[in-house]
Amino acid sequence: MTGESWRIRAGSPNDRELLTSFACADPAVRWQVEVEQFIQAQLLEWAFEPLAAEGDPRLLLAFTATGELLGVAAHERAILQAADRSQFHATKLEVIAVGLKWQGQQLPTGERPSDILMSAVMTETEGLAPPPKKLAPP
Amino acid sequence: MNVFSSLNVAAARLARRGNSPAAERVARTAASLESGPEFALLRRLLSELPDQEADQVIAGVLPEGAPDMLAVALRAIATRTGQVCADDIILSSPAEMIFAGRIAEVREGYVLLVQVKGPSTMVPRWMAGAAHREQVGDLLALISDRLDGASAVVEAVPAIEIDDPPEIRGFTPFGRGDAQTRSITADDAQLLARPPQPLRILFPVTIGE
Repeated sequence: MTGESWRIRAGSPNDRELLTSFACADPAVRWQVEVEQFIQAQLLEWAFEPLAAEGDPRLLLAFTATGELLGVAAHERAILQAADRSQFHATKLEVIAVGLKWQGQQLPTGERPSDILMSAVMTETEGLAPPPKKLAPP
Repeated sequence: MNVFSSLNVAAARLARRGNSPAAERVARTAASLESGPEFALLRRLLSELPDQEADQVIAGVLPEGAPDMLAVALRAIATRTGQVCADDIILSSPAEMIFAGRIAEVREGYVLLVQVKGPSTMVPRWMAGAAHREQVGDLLALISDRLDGASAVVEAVPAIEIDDPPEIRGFTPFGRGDAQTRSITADDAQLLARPPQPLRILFPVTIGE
């Protein structure tokens, strides 16, 4: 679905060109550049690794009503290790980014692109995630 | 003597799996490494050795009396190759697992390979021998190439010690192979110690395929 001015769909291997041209970084901010480079050059391979489990990881793309790419998000199930070395299941948000043009902006219908992306990610992951784990410092 | 980066083998494996973009990227990286100063030094040093000794070096055995610079050149190439693998999303994936360690025990049919901080595994002695590593203390690596959910090809290759502390290699949050991306540290736990908040979805969303 879609709002009146946006829609979300799962990414596909055919989205390479779209992602290659996606810009979200201030060139002066190193971590932002790292995110942008990952999205442009490696995200598709991360998402569609031939031996990955079906339906996991997941790549999500948000578009305006006119088809412009607003933002990108990706997540996968993972097993994390707590400080006490116990392991637990989790959903790892691999990356989430809003396009440069839409950072700090609202859509014509008032939503913020970041809220839309986070809503999409949480909608998908709430069905996957185990009950929240309380992490206690050692 | 032509010397090629082992990344070419990784590129070939990716191509065999049908991942052409990754294969091309890794092959380009291999070509870049091969044109770098580390490979130039190795080629020069190998060219100064008798052919038989040069072959030994390629097989993982440093001949007695080999120049110290040869070990330096090999470590430099291994370090650069390791950096590339750690930073690459495909080469650091579970499908490309590398188990590297030191031989702790030698038995009649197998050797026990132990990681510095981690698990141990048995390796058939004939595999270790083929890699010229079957003495206690020798360094050996196993490269597994996953074929499907239940099978893999495992190759034993000679390993060398490299000075590659993590702070030099750097860290990327995107590498699946880096244990740091999956670990909650004591500081993280301190930050996350409050009760988890329920997810709050601001907008109803349906994901189109």
